[in-house]
Amino acid sequence: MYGDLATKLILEAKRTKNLTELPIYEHELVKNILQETSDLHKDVEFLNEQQLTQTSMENDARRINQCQLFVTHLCLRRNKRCMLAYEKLRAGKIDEFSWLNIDPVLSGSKTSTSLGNLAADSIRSKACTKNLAIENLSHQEQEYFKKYQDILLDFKSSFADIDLSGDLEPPKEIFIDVRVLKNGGEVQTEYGVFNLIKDSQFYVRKSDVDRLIQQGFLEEI
Amino acid sequence: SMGYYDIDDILADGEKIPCRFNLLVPGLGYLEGNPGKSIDKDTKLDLPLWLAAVLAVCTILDDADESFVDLLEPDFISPKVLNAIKADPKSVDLHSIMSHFYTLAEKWAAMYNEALLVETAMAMLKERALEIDNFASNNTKHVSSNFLYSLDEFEKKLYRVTYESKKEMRAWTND
Repeated sequence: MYGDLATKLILEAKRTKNLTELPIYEHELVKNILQETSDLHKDVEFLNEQQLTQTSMENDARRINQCQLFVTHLCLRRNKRCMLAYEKLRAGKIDEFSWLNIDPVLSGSKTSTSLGNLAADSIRSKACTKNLAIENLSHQEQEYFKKYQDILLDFKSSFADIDLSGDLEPPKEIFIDVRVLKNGGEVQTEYGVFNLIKDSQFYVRKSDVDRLIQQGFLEEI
Repeated sequence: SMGYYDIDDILADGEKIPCRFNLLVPGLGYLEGNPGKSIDKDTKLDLPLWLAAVLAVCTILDDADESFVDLLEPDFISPKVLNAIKADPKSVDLHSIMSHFYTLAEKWAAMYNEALLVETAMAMLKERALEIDNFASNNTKHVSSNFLYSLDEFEKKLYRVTYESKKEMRAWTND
């Protein structure tokens, strides 16, 4: 019956909730729900018209019309709620990812995926979205992602002294040992230049390398 | 909790409740799998709560006493189930009775003012919460226990957050 497709979408949302990445947008399912919704909308218009034109409707007929109208309206409302919840869940995941300040995966290439995973491992909190593949987003979501990043950048630039998207773990030590996980060439920091050669180790100021840890170049030891 | 966008609340609203129609309605046959046909007066069928609850509350035009449908007593609050819950809350397989038991009980109790149902559910939650805490604290207990499989969706969430917070606490104190 009506609403079954929307339930399918919500089950997909439930599965997505606990993932650390965003699965591909359910284009087909959403399209079918929209189709069903516009069918329902036509029914509502017809029933409304019937109510208006037949002012002298028998009591029974009016009751029937009222019941049909209620049921159709409720189906519409259910579809709307399911769709909005699905979109909102995904938007929330996109927001989470934007705060991480790491690049999304572009074309599903192996190297960028593993970078995402490395970065993911270095982030302690488990529930957040650590991986985002651009091609899994709908066009509207890609647009939303871009605009959210713009807003975020704008917001962050009004706090010049604090890196708002930095590590949320309270710092325990000022200096830490790090190991280089992959080659990254020369990197300029406030404290000086270092050369990222795989498997080399450094003793550095933590605040200098937070970004590199987030991006998966370094690992704290 | 229970927000408009809450996925678990949406799923709970999708649970089916047995209903009886109080009037003949042409064209609604799709509700029982016969599109194009009508639904007869006194037809019994299972409707999702999001539909049933409103139809049961809204009164029919010019007739303040009768609603479109009457909700019949669903299995998950039948005396048989409630007695089993009272007898031994910990051994009840809540998940197979109703995977959103607490949410549904809450909605049902709000509609029909069922103090007894609330009391029973609260007493059960208290006892089961202790057991959930036991399982979450003690990581030598087997994960694949019958009790953990019997948790409803709310209890599963409770188990997960308890387990995670205890694990993090252990990691921090060992650091």
